[in-house]
Amino acid sequence: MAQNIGYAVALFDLASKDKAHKTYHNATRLVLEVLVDNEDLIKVLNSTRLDKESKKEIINKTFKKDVPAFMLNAMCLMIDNGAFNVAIDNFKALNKMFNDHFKIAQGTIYTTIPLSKIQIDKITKSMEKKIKKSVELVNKIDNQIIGGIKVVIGDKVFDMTVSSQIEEMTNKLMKGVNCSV
Amino acid sequence: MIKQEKEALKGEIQKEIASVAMSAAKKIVEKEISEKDNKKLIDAFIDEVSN
Repeated sequence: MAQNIGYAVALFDLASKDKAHKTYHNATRLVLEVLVDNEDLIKVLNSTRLDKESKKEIINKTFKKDVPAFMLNAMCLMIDNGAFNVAIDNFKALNKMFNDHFKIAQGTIYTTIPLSKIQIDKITKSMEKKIKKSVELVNKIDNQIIGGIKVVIGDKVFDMTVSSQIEEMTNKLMKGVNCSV
Repeated sequence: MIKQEKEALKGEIQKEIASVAMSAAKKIVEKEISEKDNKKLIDAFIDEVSN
């Protein structure tokens, strides 16, 4: 996966040359949001049935208003190279480069009920103190956790979910059982 | 040898029991957890990380 992020590296260089990190960063997030949330769009852009020009037109129509021309060109180039399947990886990598540049850490709070803005702000502030970066969190509903809360920021996980507590109990029970006669 | 096998088997059975018991417990908790308990856990987490 990592060897295919050439587009991301090139776009980051362009942003640096233009001194337009902020503009490119916002555009990157927007593109990523659209691509991740629209599996059908990805399917269409990866499909072999549609010709390249039509795919490029879709990209232009979708992003032209909000995305710098270089970024549009990069996506069109992916189409030309028949490699739009690397788009999400590249935009994820690019987003990470900008996040590192601005010392921003993005993460997710998993709960089974939606949190209030006040709760999210409190958690964000605490996490900023802990990891010494500016933190941006989104709240996602995940019923797999049964209850409680889990915050994931990069490779850091803060877990107080019912599911992990049950898992921990199961492990203890199994180990405890093994030690006895 | 037979004793060892017996012990190993016993361990396996006990593991199986533990896992069945916990998956039953999980199902019950899933059904029974109240919004109040859930909120309590979330508040406890927020308190813990802010200190």
